[in-house]
Amino acid sequence: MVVCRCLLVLLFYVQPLQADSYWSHMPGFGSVKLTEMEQEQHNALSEHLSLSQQQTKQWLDDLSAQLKALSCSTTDAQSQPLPAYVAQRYFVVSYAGVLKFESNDERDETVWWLPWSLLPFLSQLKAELGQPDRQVHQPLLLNEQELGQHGQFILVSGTSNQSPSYFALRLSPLHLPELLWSVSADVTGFEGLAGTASQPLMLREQHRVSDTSSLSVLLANTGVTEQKALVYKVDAYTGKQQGLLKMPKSIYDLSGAMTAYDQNRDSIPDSLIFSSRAGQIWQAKMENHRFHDITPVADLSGFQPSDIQFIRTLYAAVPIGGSGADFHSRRSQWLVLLGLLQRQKSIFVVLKPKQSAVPDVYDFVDRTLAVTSGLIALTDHELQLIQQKDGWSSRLTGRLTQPPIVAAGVLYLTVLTQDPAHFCSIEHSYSAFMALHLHHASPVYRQPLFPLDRSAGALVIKSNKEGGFVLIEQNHQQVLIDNLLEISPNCTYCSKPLQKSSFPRWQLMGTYQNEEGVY
Amino acid sequence: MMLSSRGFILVTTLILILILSSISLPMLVQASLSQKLSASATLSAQLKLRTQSKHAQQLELLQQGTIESADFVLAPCPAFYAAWSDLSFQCEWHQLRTSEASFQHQHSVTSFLVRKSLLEGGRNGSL
Repeated sequence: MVVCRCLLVLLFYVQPLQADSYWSHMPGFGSVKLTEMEQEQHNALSEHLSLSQQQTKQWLDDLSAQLKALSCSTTDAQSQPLPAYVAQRYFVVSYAGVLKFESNDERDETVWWLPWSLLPFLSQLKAELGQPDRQVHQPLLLNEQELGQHGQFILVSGTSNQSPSYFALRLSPLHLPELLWSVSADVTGFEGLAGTASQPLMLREQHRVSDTSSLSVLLANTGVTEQKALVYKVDAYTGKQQGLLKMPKSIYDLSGAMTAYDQNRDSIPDSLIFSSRAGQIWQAKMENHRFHDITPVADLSGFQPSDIQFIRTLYAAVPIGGSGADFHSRRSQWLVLLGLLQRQKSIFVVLKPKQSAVPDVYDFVDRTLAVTSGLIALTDHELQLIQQKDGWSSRLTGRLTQPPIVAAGVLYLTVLTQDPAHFCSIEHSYSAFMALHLHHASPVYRQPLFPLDRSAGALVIKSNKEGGFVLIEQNHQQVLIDNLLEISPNCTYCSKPLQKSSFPRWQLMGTYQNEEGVY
Repeated sequence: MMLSSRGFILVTTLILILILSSISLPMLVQASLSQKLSASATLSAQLKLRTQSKHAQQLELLQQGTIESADFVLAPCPAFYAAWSDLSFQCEWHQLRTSEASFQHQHSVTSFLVRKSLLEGGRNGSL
């Protein structure tokens, strides 16, 4: 009796710690919890895995250990926080399609989503995560503001190249994941889908006539070598194909990084920037559901990148020479921010796209930070070169863990340097954090590089009690910078603390006068 | 002989009067016209000044948030030197029109302004 009670008490305490739940979508049955399957579902699973009943049972018992072995703590630094209305303190990370929803509170259960098609390949995924020359892209999160529906949350992710597919999960609430749609080469219209190692891209379109908006997702077909579709445009809710970008002959081996931008600034994205793994950057015009006019933006193959980590665009007033504070010494233009991967290392590039020529490696000014010697002055000649040429590049010692963030003209980068022998081990890696001047890549703060004890996740800016702003890293709630600076155009290095009281700011864009009548 | 010389003097006098009056009359007209012109210019300048000072006041009030502008649209932000990632910044375009009228005259000043506000934490939970 006492033993029984002891066991019960033990069970009671042990249960919450081990209560990881594993979900998948079983064709014909819907979302199932792999630990609580009925006989029929069990049979379907063993058929899918081509294992006997007994072996399937063994496989299920080993699942926890298998997923533990799959876990790659350096990939965890790429995790994204879930919105608070879905689950508090939860983060999601994708291991080439296997999704882990983990809380930073150990008492909360970890939820795993295993794409059905990936189940037979679980043991092979680890090799893919450990490839230093490839970027493991994270899923796209669509929250209630983007969906326009209260309490809704959809996640769109690509899977490993072992069994390429894209899928969308509805997670409201988190503990009942539901598969909305999935596409793979078996689905009509997606026959050419050969690689899905990419972060899908959200696209919102406003229909002028009916005053409704629709949400689409762009899915890249990475790793294509033959002449097939490069990018699919699908409906975010149904996965139905709306359009596709056909590949011209000269483009192959697409990287998973891409971005949409609004070239004519009318609030409707009209262009897509994408790249090949080798570093060629292209732009395609988008109109309704059609893509046309593929033009090269830059050729960065001279940097010899192994993959492209991120592409982002930014609209900024770029200095073009003359006195700094003068309004006419700046030009408004789009910048393209790129994170190129060179195996364990990477290069960050800020590119000023031009209509006339396609810039290559020699058109960028190398502004790599010399970490050891502290502040290095930027010469007038270098500044002039940056203004005349097509931008700057900076070599980083590791890879970026999160997309770059620009706040008040300062570029914040989180860098993780991995040990090639222990690629997936965070203990053997080195984390740092950098803050660079957007226009000439000089350090903005006294310290050019901030070493971190723990790897940095998603960054967020919050106001502090003193009326300024702090930069917080969300995974471990570390305060990275306790008083953010803002760059100022008065001089090359000018910066001032960012004050909360200075918002909202007003800017006078123009005044005109009108007179009418007679005396 | 006598008659003809008398006629000549009369004609000469008449011509002289004509010349003199044709010189002086436009001068009188010009003087009165320029007076009128200066009066209207003063009025116009006063009106202009009044409208502009009122507009400046309204601009200040708008920036303090005391009054609302005629209309505004949410739109992409103009380019900043100290640029921000898209999600964290919000821009509203305001249009402020001030007009004053006197008699049959109207003067109006219209300004376009951008109100830039920072969304803490961003729309996405990240920046």
